[in-house]
Amino acid sequence: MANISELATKLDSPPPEARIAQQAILTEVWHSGAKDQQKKRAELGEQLTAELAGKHKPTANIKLAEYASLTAGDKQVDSLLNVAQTSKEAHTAHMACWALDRLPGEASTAALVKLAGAGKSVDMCVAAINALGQRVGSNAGKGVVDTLKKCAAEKEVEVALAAGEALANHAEAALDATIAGIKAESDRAKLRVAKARIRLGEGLVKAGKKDDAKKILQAVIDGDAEPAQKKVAKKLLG
Amino acid sequence: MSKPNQPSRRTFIKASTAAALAAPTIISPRAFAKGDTPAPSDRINIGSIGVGDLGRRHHLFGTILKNPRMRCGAIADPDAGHMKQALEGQMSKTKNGEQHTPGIIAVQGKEVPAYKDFRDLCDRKDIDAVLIAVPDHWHALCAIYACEAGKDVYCEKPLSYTIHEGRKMADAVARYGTVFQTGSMQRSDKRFRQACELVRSGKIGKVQRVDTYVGASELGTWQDPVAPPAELDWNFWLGPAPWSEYMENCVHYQFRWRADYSGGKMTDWGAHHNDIAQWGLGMDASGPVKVSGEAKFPTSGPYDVASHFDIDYTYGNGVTLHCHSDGDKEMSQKYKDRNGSNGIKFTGDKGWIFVNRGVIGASDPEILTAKAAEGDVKLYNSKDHHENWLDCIKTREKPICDVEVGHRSATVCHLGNIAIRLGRELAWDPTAEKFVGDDQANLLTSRPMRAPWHL
Repeated sequence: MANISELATKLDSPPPEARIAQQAILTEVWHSGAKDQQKKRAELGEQLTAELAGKHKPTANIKLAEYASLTAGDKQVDSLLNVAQTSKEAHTAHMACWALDRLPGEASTAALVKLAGAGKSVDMCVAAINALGQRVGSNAGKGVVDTLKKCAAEKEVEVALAAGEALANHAEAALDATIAGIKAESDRAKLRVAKARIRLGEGLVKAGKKDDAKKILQAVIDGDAEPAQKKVAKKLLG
Repeated sequence: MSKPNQPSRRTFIKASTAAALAAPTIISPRAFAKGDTPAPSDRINIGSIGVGDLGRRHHLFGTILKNPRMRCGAIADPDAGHMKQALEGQMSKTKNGEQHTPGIIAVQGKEVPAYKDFRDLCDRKDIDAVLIAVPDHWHALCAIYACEAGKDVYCEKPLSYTIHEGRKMADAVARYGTVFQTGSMQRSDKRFRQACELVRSGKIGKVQRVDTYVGASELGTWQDPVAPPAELDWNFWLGPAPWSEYMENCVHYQFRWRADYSGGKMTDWGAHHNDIAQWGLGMDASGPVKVSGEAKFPTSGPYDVASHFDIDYTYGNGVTLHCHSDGDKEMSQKYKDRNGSNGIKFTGDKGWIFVNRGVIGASDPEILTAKAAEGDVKLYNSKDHHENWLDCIKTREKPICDVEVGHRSATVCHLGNIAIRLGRELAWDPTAEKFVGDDQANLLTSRPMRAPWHL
């Protein structure tokens, strides 16, 4: 296997050398996904995550996080979470969260729950919330919905709206009160709330909970939503 | 920028209807039309999202401003320079020197609102439909937002940046009842339709294989990162993609060769030729079940998509599709039976048909000239891709290359890119839209988005 530490150092070099190092690491990453290469993949995940926690330039760290997202496992989640929480360099911190977003499993979900609730910036919270929005059904870990509900009550409107949109992916009728309760003042914020309620209603229809869906969709129709939202609500009501 | 407050076709019709109910005399807006030219109130008010080279030259100047059924109602682009050229026109080189192509102001007589953020354009009530010609990594976000705003959509190919994004686009179109045209416009060219009709009518016998020749990706030359130009909002241009330093030869047309924004020639031309392969095979709602391939990635230069590749797909019925780039001596020698001109070749047990934008040929010329027999397949007939979209906006029928078609064709390209990156044969379930038994490959069917962007 190539010397990852050496290649990671070259990522800090000017473009030609950095680009060659990128391709060399990528080749290792891609080939490590084969069924008979899982040990190598785990080693790569560990090495790449360790390099991310080191002192590379942001441009190098962005690539390292991307490569780690394709190789890391549960054992690297704490390290990625630590980078996301403590790195003073915004791009590096954000990409650590980005890598957690791509990692499947309960450990990464738990890490994202922590970042969503106590991210060090609005952007970080929103990134973690957006990632949690994709973890629904059997992929939803413990505390996902509760965390999103708390975030939906945040004063920071971008956090609240992101949480509302993430909650809309969970086909639970009771979540409508949380989504509808988001303090949306601008037209665009109101539109985002309406769209989230539409998606919640659609999810309920698909889950066979038509009566629950009807209440939500009728509320959209009766409210001050945009014509496009009312039209789709009517369509979903059949 | 000015914000004209003209009634759109929809609001005009709504207002006309209200007036008709209140007054005894009804005057149809069509009464104001001259000959075949629709009345201004009948024109579809288009928002042009992305007015860079393709969006401005091909769609805006070449179509919207020339087509009496449309007018440009607003434009959006994170590059103010692009918008200036869209409004004021641009000089371009011709055989006889330079020529000025008039912009929106000259053609329509006044400015239209111009926005950095496509959402501002989509939020306008007077825009009926949008035409999206932005880098691939933006397609899903722009298209879904437009669907949700109640606009009909024409989106450039390849439909999506990832398979997951394509599925989300199809979901949004279904949810909002959007009339959606994917810009794989070869479907509206009679040669390609004829080729597919002949193949599906059995004129070359039982189809065995399809070869698509899409060309190689560019290698480029090194440039040091520099500060982005003042007129470009670089952070907005990057949008959902990971942050990157600015290099002049990695934006606008050249975005195609950077994996953070596109899939290279594989998705650029694959979205044309593999789309025709899917059509000819009758696989518009499905796709291959196996994919493997070989590729060369640049070891010098700034780009990181595969420069040369040779990809093998197998469909559930045993038919194989082979997608080739060209220009690499080593691979050309290795795969001597796979060299060909840009285009698509269908091979059956009784002959072959080759088609590209200039030529249609067959193993026996009679295949092309024989009269159609009873029971021969007749496919969706669109003579012009934009006109087909406009017709469908009126009838609310599906355009020839609707979102599902575009998604499935783009998926073929994405599968190829994933296989050549991973360097192993992959099994694909076209129903579940998942790889079978390869979790790393499944990770590559989507990509996290940089906050605040998300689907």
